[in-house]
Amino acid sequence: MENEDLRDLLKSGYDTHAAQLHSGDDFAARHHGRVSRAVGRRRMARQAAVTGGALASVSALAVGGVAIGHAVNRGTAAPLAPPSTSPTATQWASPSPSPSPTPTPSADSATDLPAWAAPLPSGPPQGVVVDDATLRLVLDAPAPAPAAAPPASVACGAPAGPYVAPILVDATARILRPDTTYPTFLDPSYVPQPGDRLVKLQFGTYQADQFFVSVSLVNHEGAQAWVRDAATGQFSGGESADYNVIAQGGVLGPDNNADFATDDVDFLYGAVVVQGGVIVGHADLWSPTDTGSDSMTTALSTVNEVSARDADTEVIYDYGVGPLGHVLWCSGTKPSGTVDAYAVVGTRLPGVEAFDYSMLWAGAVEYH
Amino acid sequence: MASWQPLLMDVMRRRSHALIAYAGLFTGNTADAEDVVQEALIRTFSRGRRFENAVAAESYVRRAIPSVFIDRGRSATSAWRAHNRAIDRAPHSVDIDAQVDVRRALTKLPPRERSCMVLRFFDDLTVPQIAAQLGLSDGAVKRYLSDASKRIAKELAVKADWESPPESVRVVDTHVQQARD
Repeated sequence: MENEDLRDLLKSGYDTHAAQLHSGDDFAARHHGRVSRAVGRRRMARQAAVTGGALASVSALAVGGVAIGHAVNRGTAAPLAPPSTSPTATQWASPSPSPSPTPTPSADSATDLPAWAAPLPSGPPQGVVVDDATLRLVLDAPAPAPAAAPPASVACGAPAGPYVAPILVDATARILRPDTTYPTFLDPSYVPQPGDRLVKLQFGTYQADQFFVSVSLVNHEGAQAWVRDAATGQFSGGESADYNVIAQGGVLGPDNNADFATDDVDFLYGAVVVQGGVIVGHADLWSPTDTGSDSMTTALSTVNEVSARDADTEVIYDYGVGPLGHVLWCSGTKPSGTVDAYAVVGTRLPGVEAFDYSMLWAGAVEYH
Repeated sequence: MASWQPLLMDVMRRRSHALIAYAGLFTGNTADAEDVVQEALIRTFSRGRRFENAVAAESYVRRAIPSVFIDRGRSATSAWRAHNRAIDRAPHSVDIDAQVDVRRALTKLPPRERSCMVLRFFDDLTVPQIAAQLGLSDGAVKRYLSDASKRIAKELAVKADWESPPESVRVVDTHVQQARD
């Protein structure tokens, strides 16, 4: 082999291999059915996502240091996009809660939210196993969606009992057009402060490879709403450090395809440290570089970076990663013993096969 | 029948052997190459693109193969190692032994390095083209190529100069030509 060129060897090897293979008829006979069905399912899921019919809502619930995420596909019944379904100025401003410095979560807190951001129905979610003891949330691989039906609901729900909490974060994926703008009455220069109440986080995708993040807050005076359309950008990793909102776009799991050119994606983790519904801190997590490890490994390493990145926060609760890497969350605490919680929620549309994560949401709010 | 289905069948029947051989450069064995091709087909035809013919569709499938391979590799690192023990053996001849040795050596590389090597030395893509296809930076591609070339050259005593352009270029793309026939 001395002095042979690798190019020649590769190309001759290719020719040899191709000549040895059975006819394409054999391959087609064995695999066409499976491939065809998979294509059909993904087309359905993609179409549903594009039209908003697969609107999914991700909500993160947190209380007492426990962060629980749930995600429910609301289907076509859910509102699709602003402005028709977005809160009006009055809606944002009027139901203003009056957060105290150390508010206590209450079951009524959810009613402070606009109707379209109301808590999602509880109940046993489909395809989900919740382990109360460890707070690990494991998603079973969803059954393939019927060809003519929208993706089945999937929910990562909080178990009944002490962990049920008011909704603190409601991250709803919406399919927005690039030119969608938020009401201008909101002050884009407002910087979230400790004590502000996080009303809503929105994450979503549009135009296949772009994402947006918006954050809605009621400030510490309980009067002023704030929304920022924080970032739109490529799913190519990188940090949105220029924004008050730290938003990492990406997919949980490898998906290096035309839609999400994310081979080196910085994973999409974020955290809002809340206490009783009030932002008291933040933790931002991301994988600075993709080390080439699988998604779960990266997730673990990312979680472990919390303490390094933010010495004031350390991970105390575990994360849950489904077999397909659907959902993860973790919680943080401060050395003082004050228990805070944050939630990291990521999910994907049900009915979409592994490694084709059409949507994933998480995010972080940074206050200064 | 959906409009894409006849074309999918056409690609699978007429071009799968070429696609599998191409995927085999990455996977090192036919069984995994078939899996990669299936997934590449699924990704390609799930996008809703319109292809004029099987040749056009095949080009997209080929383009998807490195990505599929890398994705699969990430989630199944151990499987790659198994590949090292399950490389297809061809009838022995000096040339074919050399080809098998090359494939074996490639399977020892991490997936990204392997993909970069195949795209560089088989597809003759430039560094920016590889970077674009794999979603990597140019620098990362250069690093992968440099590291992998050194390892391959050392193990096989072959010329694997990734910085030099190919000495010859295929004037006729035989597999495309076959598809047109």
